[in-house]
Amino acid sequence: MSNDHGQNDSQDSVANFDHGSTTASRRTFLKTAAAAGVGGAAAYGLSRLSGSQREPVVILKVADYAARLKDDFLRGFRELNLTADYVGGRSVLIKPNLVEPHAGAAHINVHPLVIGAVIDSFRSLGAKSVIVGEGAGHVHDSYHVLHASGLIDVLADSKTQFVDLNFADIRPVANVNKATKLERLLLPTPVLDADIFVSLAKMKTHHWAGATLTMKNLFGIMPGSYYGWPKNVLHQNGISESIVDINAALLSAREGKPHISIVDGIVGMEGDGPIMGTPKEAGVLVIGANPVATDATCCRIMGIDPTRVDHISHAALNLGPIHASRQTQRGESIREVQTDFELLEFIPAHRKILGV
Amino acid sequence: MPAPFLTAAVDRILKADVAQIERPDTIAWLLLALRACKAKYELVATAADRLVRFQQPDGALPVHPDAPAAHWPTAVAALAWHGLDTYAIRTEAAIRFVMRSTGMHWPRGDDEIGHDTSIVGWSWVNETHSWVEPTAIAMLTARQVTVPESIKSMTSDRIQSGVRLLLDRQLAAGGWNYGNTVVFRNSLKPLPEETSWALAALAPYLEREQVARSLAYLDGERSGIIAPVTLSAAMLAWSAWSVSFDAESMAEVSLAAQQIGGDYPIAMVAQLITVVNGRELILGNAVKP
Repeated sequence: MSNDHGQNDSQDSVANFDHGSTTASRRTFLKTAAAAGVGGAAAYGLSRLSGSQREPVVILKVADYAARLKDDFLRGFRELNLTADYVGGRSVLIKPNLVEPHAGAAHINVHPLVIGAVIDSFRSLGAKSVIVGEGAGHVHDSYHVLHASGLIDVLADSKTQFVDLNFADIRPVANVNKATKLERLLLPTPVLDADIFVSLAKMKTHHWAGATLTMKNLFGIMPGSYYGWPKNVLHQNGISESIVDINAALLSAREGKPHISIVDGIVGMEGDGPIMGTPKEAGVLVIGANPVATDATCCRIMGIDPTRVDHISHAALNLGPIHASRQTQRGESIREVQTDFELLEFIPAHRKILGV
Repeated sequence: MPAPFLTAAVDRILKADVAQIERPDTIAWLLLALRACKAKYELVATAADRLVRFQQPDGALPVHPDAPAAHWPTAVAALAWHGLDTYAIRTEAAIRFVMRSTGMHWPRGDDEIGHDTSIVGWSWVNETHSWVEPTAIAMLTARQVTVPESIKSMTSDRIQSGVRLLLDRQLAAGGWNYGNTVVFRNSLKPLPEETSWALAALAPYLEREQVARSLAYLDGERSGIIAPVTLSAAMLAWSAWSVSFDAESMAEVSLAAQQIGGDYPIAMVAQLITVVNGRELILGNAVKP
C-alpha cells in the first residue's frame, strides 16, 4: 500500500487540471484554455503538472445510501472549487457504471440514489442541462438496464433525459495514446459536446483489469454499435491498453473541458468483480478532477497499490499523477477510510497486485 | 380493449421520415414494422429503397460508413427485405454476406473461460468472437430468408454449428447472457433479452426439455420485462415455444412507460411493433407445437 500525505493543503488552488498527454500537448492545452476564457477566474480546464501543483482528490465518509447524498456531493464539489460560478449555464453529461441489472445484486452498479444526488447537485449549481448517458456493455438493451436497476424512477422523478450511448451519433477521434493499434476511436457526440463530463463509477475489483474505477468506466462510452456487446473490439486490442487510449482520446478531444471523476464506494465490490464479486462496504464517495489521481486514491482506499494496476500505471505516464506525493487528499484521509478489498490469487490480474 | 399507446406507436411508425435516418438497423426495423402494420406499399417501398443506400458491394450493411466491420445490421436487413420481390437481389446479397461471415474462433484451452471457443457462430463486428444474439439472429434469418441454392448446404452446416454454439453457451441454471458461461470459476448470470433470442432461434431444432430451465428463467422474468427491445425478443421466444402471452397488453405497458422515461428511440418502437403485429416476418413457421 502506498503512502499518502492525508492532509489538506490550503495552498493548492485546485482551479486547474491537466488533460494533456505530452509536454507539448500540455502547452497546447494551456493556450486553448486561455483563449477559451473558460469559467472566469476559476478556469476549470487544465493545469500544469509542474512540481508544486498537486491534484486534489476529495474523500467523503458516507455511511449508507440513506444519507443526504446531495449535501455530501456539494461539500465535495466545494473542495474542488466546482462552484456555481463555473457550473452555472453549462451542460453536464453524467456517465454512470451500469453493467448488468440483477435482483439482489445492487452492488454491481452505481446506486440510483447516487446518480440522483449527482444530478441534483449539478442542477443546484445552476447547470443549464444535466443528462445521463450510458452504453451498457453486456446488455444490448440499455433501457432494460434502466428499468431493472430502478434508475428509470430516479430519472423520471428528476425529469432527467437519458441517452443510450450504444446508439448515439459518433465522431471519429484520433487515438493520441496509441497503446492499441486502433487508429481512431468512435466517440459519442453527447459525451464530446457536454461542457462538463462526469465519469461516475463503482468501487470494484475487476478480474481482467485488476480494479474498475472511473477510467475503466469509460468502456461504457464506446458504442456497442461499433464495438460489440460485449465490447470485443476493445478486449481484443488489450483491455488495459484500450482503457488508457479511450481516456487519452476523450481528454484530448474535449480540449481541456472539465472531466470530473466520482466513485460510489459506499458499497463497492470485492473478489471476482465486476459482476460476481461480493458487496464490500467501504463507506466513501471519492471525487476528483483528474481520473488518474482519483483512481489511484481509490486503489489506496481499497488496499491496492495503483502502480500494480496496469491501466492506472500506464495512464500515469501522461494523463495524471499516480503517486500520493502528487495528490492532495481533501476531506478524509486515506488512513481513516482504508479497507482492504479481497483479491483472488487464482486471477492473474489480482496476483500481480498481490505480488504473488 | 383500447390501446392508446400502441395506437400512437403505430402512428409514429407510419409517419416516420426514413429520409432523415442514417442508420441501417433503424431503417430495417422500420421496414419490418411497416410491413407488420400492413402499411401502404409506397411507405414500404420508400423504406426498402432507403435501406438499399447502405448496402455495400459485398452485400453487408454496416452500421456506419466509418465502421465497415460493424456488419451486424445485415441480417436484420435481409429479414426486412425478404418477400419483397423488387429487392430479391438485395436480400440474396445480404444473406450471402451473413452466411460468409463468422465470429473468430480458436481451439479450446483457456481454463479461465467456460465455453467452447472453437465453435463457429456469428459476431457483432468483424474479427471478434461469436456471441449469442448475433448468432441467434443470423440463424433466424437463414431459416426465414430464401437462401440461394449454391449456399444451401453451407447454410445448413452454419445453422447446425449455431445450434451447437447456443447450447454450449446456455447457462447450467438456465438462460443465456451475451455469451459467457463461466469466467474464473464463477458461473455468470442470465439476461432476458439474450435468453429470448437464443430460445427463439433454437425452437425449430430442439426439444423442450433441452431448454426447460431457460424457459423457466424467462417466465420468471416476465413481470420485470418492460423495455421494448427485451420485451419484443421475449415475445419471439414465447411464440416460438408456444408459451402464452398477451402481446398487446404487454406492449401497451411498455409503451406507457414512455410517460415516465421519455420517448423510446424509434428503432426500439419499430422492433416492438414488428413483433406485436407481424412476428411471422421473423419467425416464419418456426413455432413449437
